[in-house]
Amino acid sequence: MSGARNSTLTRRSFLKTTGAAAAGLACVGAAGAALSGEVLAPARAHAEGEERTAHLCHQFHCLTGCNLKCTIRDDRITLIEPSDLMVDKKHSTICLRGIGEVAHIYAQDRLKVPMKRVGERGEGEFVQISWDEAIQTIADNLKEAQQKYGEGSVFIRKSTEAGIEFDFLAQLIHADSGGNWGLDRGQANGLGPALGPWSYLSNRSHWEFKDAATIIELSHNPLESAMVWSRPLMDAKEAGTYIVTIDPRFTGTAAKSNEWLPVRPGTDAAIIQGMLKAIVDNGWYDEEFMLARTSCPYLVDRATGKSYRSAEVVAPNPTVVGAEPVGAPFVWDTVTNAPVLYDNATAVPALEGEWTVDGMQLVTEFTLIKEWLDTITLSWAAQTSGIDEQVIVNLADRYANNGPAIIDIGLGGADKYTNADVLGHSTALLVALTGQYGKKGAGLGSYCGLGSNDPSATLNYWVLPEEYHYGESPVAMYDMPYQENNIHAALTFGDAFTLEAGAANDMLEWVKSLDFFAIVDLYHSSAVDYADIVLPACTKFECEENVKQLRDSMGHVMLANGMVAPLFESKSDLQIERLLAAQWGLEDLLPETYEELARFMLDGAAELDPRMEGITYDALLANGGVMALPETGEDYLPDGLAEGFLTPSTRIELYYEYLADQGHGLPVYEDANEAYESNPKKEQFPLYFTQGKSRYRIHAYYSANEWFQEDFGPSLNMAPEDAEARGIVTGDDVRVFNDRGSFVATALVNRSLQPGVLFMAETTYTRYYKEGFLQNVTNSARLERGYSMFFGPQIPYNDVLVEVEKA
Amino acid sequence: MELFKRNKAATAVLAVLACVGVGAWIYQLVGGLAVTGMSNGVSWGAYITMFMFFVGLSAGGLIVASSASVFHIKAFKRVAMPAVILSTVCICLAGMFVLIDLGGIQRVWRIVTGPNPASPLVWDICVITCYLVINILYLHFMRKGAERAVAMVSRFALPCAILVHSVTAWIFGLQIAKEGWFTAIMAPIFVASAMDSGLALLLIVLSALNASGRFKTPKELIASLAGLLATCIAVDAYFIFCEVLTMGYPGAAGAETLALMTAGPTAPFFWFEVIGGLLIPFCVLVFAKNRAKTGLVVGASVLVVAGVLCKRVWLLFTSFIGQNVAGAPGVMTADGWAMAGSYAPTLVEAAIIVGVVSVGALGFMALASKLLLPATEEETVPAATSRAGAPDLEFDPQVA
Amino acid sequence: MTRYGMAINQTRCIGCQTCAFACKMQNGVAKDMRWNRVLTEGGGVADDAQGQYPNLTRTYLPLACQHCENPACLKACPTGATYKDEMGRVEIDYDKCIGCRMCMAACPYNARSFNWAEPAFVPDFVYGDGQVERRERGVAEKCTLCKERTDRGEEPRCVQCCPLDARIFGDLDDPNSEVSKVIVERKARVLLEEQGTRPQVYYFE
Repeated sequence: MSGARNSTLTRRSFLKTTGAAAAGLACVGAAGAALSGEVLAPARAHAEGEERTAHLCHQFHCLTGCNLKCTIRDDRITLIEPSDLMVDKKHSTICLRGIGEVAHIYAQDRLKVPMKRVGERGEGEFVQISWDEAIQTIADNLKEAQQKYGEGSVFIRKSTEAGIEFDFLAQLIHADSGGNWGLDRGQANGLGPALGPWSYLSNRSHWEFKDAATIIELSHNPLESAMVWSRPLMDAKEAGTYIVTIDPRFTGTAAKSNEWLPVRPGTDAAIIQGMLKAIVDNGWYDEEFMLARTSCPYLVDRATGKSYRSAEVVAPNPTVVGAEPVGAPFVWDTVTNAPVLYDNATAVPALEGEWTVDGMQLVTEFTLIKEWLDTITLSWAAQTSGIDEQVIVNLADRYANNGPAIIDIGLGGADKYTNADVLGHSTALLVALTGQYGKKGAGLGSYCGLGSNDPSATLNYWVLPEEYHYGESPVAMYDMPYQENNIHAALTFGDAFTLEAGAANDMLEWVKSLDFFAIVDLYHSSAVDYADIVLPACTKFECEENVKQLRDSMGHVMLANGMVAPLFESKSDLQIERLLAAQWGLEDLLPETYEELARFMLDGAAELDPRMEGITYDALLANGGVMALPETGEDYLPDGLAEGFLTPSTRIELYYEYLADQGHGLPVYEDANEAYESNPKKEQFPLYFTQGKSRYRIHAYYSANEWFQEDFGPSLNMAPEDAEARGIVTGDDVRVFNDRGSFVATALVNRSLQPGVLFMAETTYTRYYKEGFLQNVTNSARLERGYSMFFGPQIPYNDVLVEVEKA
Repeated sequence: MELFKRNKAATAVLAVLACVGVGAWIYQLVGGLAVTGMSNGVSWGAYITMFMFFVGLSAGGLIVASSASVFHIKAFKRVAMPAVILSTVCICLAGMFVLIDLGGIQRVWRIVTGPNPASPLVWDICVITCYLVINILYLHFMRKGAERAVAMVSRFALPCAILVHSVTAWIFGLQIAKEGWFTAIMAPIFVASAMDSGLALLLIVLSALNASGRFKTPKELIASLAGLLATCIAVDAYFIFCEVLTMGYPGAAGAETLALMTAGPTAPFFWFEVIGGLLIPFCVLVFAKNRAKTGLVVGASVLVVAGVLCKRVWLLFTSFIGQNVAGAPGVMTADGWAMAGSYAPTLVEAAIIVGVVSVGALGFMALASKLLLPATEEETVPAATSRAGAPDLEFDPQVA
Repeated sequence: MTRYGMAINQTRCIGCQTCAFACKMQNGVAKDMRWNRVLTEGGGVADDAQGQYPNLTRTYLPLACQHCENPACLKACPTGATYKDEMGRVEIDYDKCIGCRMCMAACPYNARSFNWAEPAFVPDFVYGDGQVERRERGVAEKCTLCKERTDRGEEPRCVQCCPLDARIFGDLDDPNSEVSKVIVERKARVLLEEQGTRPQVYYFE
């Protein structure tokens, strides 16, 4: 590793004695002022070969957050292993991504110095500049844009890992933060109104997998996306749980399942609806649960499609955009033969039926559901999804009648088609009709580890004074190339433009049209080539001081410590934000150091939550940076959300009145935008193009790891039939193209693909492709009704048809 | 150094090639074996091929020479000296190839201080050393004209020659890991190949000496040696047939190796050997009238030598193509992962091999100049070799 | 006597390659070498499937030195550089290795890598366990069963890091060790049993 190492700037000893600095903002301001002159300790001196260890919480982005033990020799991270400090040994985890950091931290494609563009945007020609010049240039351009076009003309976004603890600058200058992300919430859009906005995440622990009789992995591939969470699934398999994976591809998870349903891309909802059909036709539904816990008995006015609700009693509705309150619903009481409020304690509500009240034809939601299901057939479900009728019926039987069952949905995969909300809504119906929810071994959502497997900590979050807040975001970032907007300058921490938008030719054309674009990144990512100014950030393992991020993970509070100095001329995110904030004279509103931030987050936490007692900054440091929460242990299992859903009536609400005008009060099936069998476009572009997770990356991250590059590059997996028809063999360069663009990748002929379907691991940096990159072909279509949904329309990355030829 | 003087151009070319070879070898010492085409998938290459090849080539000479004494085939005595010179040179080259192939030649002394008696490579080093000593003694006694000593040495030389090929064969044939090598017939095949390629090379060299006028071999002796060559080819072909049949017949793992051999990347070498190295030369040499034509004999001999070289290639490399525990992505090499072994010698390897062979040619010329009696009166004695076919009264059954 | 060995659960192995990289890191394995490879059985490419769509299967096979009881490499080695140590591991004394590669020809498992050139490291410093002996050009190397770690009473790095707990390490001579029990109970097999090398690495499903 050549390049200057800023090894003399290590840690600010000043704050060691300034515990009070964490007390509050005013105090921090004062401390910051006192610190404006550099108070720096001398460099850590190390004898040759001297070893020390350090601990930190690694990625959250894979939804795991492993604590890693690092061995540092000669000030280099030479060995990374599972943490030895976890109270709960099942959490001493690591996967190749953690181990691979040894190569990744020191990868040759790290951004090393601040740079300014000298060629055209996209050419990737830069010269080195000083930090002062870079910061000054960014500030000047953002200020100029705001002066000329208003505050909302500046777009600032931090990518997931860059912005977990703080995101100050955008708030300080009231920047547009780009609105909806459009990522991986397609099913969530469809689930939210029924079960609550966060219901796409399971509220039960995946350690319950072994208690389930059946697990349906719906477009979820944890065995390749979050390897350390594979254990509960394999434990369940060994315990005899029947695992079914619904995925167009024979994924790692499919390979370990008892059954694989190779669904056609974008048609998962047809399988679920086929299951619903079988369940209702065969009477396999759980009436008791439906009456007690769902909206099945709620009344709807057949003529208008409006639900029959009380005008007097209203409830807030958190599940749809706008969150307007709604009236309390009525049910039909079979005792009094009249409508009564849903929560009437003495009523015996009817599940089905039709009654006339005040000239209105009232029906129950379940009656509507049955009528809707009468319009579909199992053979339609089979033809649409490519899964045999009997297989669908058997799965429905197994799911409904065979003990507790779990539907574990993937974030991504099926979310990346325009019709994903129909899938989510259908799944909500399936759960509601069978009662597979809220009990041990039964549940729905992504069992991805976020929050529900372990106790979580209570921490303070650094809040800026009220006058500092994000500006309006009238247009989502991914829509900016297509919708009128006022953005003229952009600053992104990480590669937002090529990762968080499809159809890269459109997006990058728009980026080129900006007056100014600066990027802060670790590696030479795809968007770097389009930036005017490039700032090198340092990795999680590096910091100017001895500590870094404080995180809550796996039932432990973890303080990163024992850092190595930032490599080359890189800086930590916090110091970069401070340098930028200083250009507006606002740096004193930010923590001076990570130590100050960590102290602030912990200080007084025990008063808010007695479970935090004893977990202080100093105690953490004394314990190697890791302390467990009191409940943490092998036996910890959350009880999940057994009672009450975050819906207006606190039950599963199946009829989506707000979409009734658009014909989607119930999950009426519709084809995806592009990925469907009868699409005439298939004549020209006959192959489905799908992308997903690889064990070698989290999205594009880790692409620069040269160890992984030995195994894995931009490669297109295709079925032998498709390869043969095009004269393609493994190792060939192939051009993938459609009407939106093209790129060249290496072909891998792989029997794991269903014929007609291609697969690539999600995007990697353009520099590793021979030509173009996969985002050139992805879809920019938007689901119009998506704009009235909680998470907005999703980017249909997988809703894509292409053709492939030898390059 | 008469041969050098008479063949100045050839000498100069050989000297240049030898120097280039030495240069290439130094380059290899600096860069390591990475400068060769070998990899973790194909961990032996052209050097080991040449090692096998030259061990074999050295056989013909010593076997012919010692047969003269052991079996009292007097006619062969005439060519004993060039035969043993050839044998000596070839075994030296074989040894050089082993040393060149070592990755850690600076530690080669370890083989002396701590030999592992179970290793066929240790056996081979011992046997080759013995063999070299015998060759040198042979030359020494022949030069002195010590007939009894020559006879004594020959009694050791013949079994030692057989052993040197067998042990070389065992380096490969005892490796259960390699389907194509692991066979009891490997040693007999090596002996047979050694005999036919060695004899063929001897015939080529004798003809060349004839042409140079430095040393004359009667046509009848050439014809007689050619007859012996035909027999050896037949034996070699027979052994190969036995092996191929045994490999293919059960239709098991051996059949896969056979399929690679006959239709895989090494197939051209296999078929050249079978057709060019065995079938054609045998068909030529089986007829007495053909054996009388030196041109045909030399041509057939060249084919035999080339054929045996091809055999070394397919024998070595076929077993490196597959991996016993197969699975993607295979074995890691400098060019990335490899599911199947692939190998091509680099220019460095080629230069070293050409250099070593040039050194050998120069060595032969030097020794021949020093040790061979100039063409003498014997040329004037016709039909002297008719005795060769006659019953040998001095035949000693105890030695046979 | 102690005879270290390992049993690998192929049902639990998800082919994640964590062990392969853990090994590379721990032992400072240079560029273009892997002591531990995770193969996809019957695959034309990594993560391929076997069978005909849609009736597919996929099995991963983590493969490194099998620490055979009857090691073909040990017999072939002319200098005794390869030896069986008192813990039943097959080890290499790099000082004795003359680079003849007899062992590579002899090993049925392609377990060995050779230092064809001066080892190149990416990243370009000596990473890994500081106690692991470094190899120079011209010697063969392979899995040591994490000699340094197992000597310290720790598990091999691949065992420690496996996210699925698919690897069990222990003493095969101790009938009460977990590994010994698993081998019996789960009817574990060895690779290429017919070659008679008697591996101390077992596989089970």
